[in-house]
Amino acid sequence: MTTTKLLGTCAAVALMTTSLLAAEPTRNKALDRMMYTINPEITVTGPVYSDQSDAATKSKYGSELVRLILKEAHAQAKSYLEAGDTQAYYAALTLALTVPMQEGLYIQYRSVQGSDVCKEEANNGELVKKSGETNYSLFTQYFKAAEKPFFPNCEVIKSNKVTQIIRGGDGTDLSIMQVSIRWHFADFLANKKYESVQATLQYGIDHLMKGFNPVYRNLDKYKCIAESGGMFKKKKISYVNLVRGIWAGQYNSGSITKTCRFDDSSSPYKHHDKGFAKNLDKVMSFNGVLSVDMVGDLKLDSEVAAAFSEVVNNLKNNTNNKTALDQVLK
Amino acid sequence: MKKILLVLVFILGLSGVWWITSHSTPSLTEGDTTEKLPSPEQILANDYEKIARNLKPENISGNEWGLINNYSLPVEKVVTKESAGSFFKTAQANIPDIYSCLKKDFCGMTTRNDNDAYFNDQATPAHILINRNLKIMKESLRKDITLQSQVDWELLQDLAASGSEMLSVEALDIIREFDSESVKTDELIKLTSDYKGTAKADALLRISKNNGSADKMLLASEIEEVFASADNDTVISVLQQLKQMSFSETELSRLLRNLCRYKDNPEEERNWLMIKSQAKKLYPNFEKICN
Repeated sequence: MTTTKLLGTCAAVALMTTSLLAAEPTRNKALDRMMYTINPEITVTGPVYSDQSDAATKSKYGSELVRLILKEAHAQAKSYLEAGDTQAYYAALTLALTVPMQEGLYIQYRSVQGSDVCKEEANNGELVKKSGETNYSLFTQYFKAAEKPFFPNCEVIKSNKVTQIIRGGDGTDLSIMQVSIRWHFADFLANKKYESVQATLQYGIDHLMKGFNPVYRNLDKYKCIAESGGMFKKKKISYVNLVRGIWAGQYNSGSITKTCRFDDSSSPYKHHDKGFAKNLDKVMSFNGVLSVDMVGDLKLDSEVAAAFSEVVNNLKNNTNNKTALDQVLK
Repeated sequence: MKKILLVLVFILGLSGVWWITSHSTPSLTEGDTTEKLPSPEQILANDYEKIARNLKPENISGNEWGLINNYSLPVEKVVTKESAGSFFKTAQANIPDIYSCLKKDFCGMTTRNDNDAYFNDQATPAHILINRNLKIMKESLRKDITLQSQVDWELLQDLAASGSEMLSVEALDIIREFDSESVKTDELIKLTSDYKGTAKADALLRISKNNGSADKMLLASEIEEVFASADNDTVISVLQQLKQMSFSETELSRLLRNLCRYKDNPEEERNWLMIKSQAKKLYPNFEKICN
């Protein structure tokens, strides 16, 4: 009897959910709680994702985003290509393609329609508890105190169609690169780099390269990436492990001394590294469609897809075919 | 039948939990239910409060302190000729207190929770704040040279030798620019003896602004030593800054010769590619030097 009741309730809930979904078929409500709503009076520079759009629009979005990622990564890693170290170059590009998927689900801004999309608890925040002589708060200083606050309180947003920015954790990680405003307030926050996808990617990839360069140059210190080939042999380098190590150390731990964290089975952060490895696998096995967690499939247009494939195939096969990549980078 | 159904519901529930956890992305799911957590404003204010409680109230009560902490304003715009004195005083008064708590416990900076792996012990808010105060000090000195007599040189020497890039390079630059009468180029170079990577490259670039020919010789000698024996990252970082140091062709030829140790070393093939590419931009006949 109990079971019958439970099943009956489940069926009713399922029916209600289906009805709700039917009313608003394409809004991905799981994304609602990951967003701050941006002041409609402020213009941000996209691309802007819309989960309420059709497959062709999503494809255009994904292609535009990947194009931007490749351009920014190329700008910061091209010295390796110029030097003839193509494997390092394609490793840097692969890293840049993977991190935004891992960190921000390939979304910086989301255009969404709905009366309940602005989340009070996210946008309103709580009043900073001032103590003594100090009334300092970075968040209010940069996001709330301006004449046009970037995140106004929900009640003052009159439109049902809004643009949002992705946030993570406790709200202090922001953007497609999940840049922590606790640690990056002096530049990323102060110079409003979060107001443009391109500026955000540039900042995030620059942060990655600040780990990539010293680790790659001093590989002797990182046994998880390279093993000595002996006196007369080349060093044996795993470029996939290089990508994993830069994310684990520089990006997720804040220190290149933690580069080999991903190789440590007793690491308390091993589930972080497994998550990254999963996204890296998706990038490395790319076949035209990117399957992004919680977002779904993004089919890239043929030119961008070909460039993406060239990057990962070159890394896998130690080749340097870049006809499509050159087109995308123009 | 009921038992079977119960087991089925239980398995379905477990599968659901597994699916949700296995399909989530770590970076976005670490406590993304913000409702029960402190707000970002509180977290940032708390981070700042941990530093501020180490500072003397009289040193952070003026308008200067608010402007020093407004990173959207470049120091050149913050400090004027008229306000240089008060900015200098505020910045120099606060640095020792911030440095002291930084050495003690990073001024209380911590990760957010056990699941948060991020902790950059070279760029905490306290590092960033000292760096900003040093830049304010330097700009104040540039706007009002009479402040030179008030500089705590011992503090700057201490910061220059701190081993932290954000503190050391900026402190060294103030000493170079405003204490060149008593601190000579060889002493500045000596201060950089433990610097690595971009810190070494940036420091040597700044020292290269000292104009005398004797200074240039000392700098060249230091770069030769770096190229001959430093770690690969330091070598390449310095090489990438060499163009801006204005060495003559003859000097470049002498300096770059020390990089030939990378040639024919199979262990360093990838670094040789980068070195060759960078060196040829400065000295097109570089490869002939190593033949």
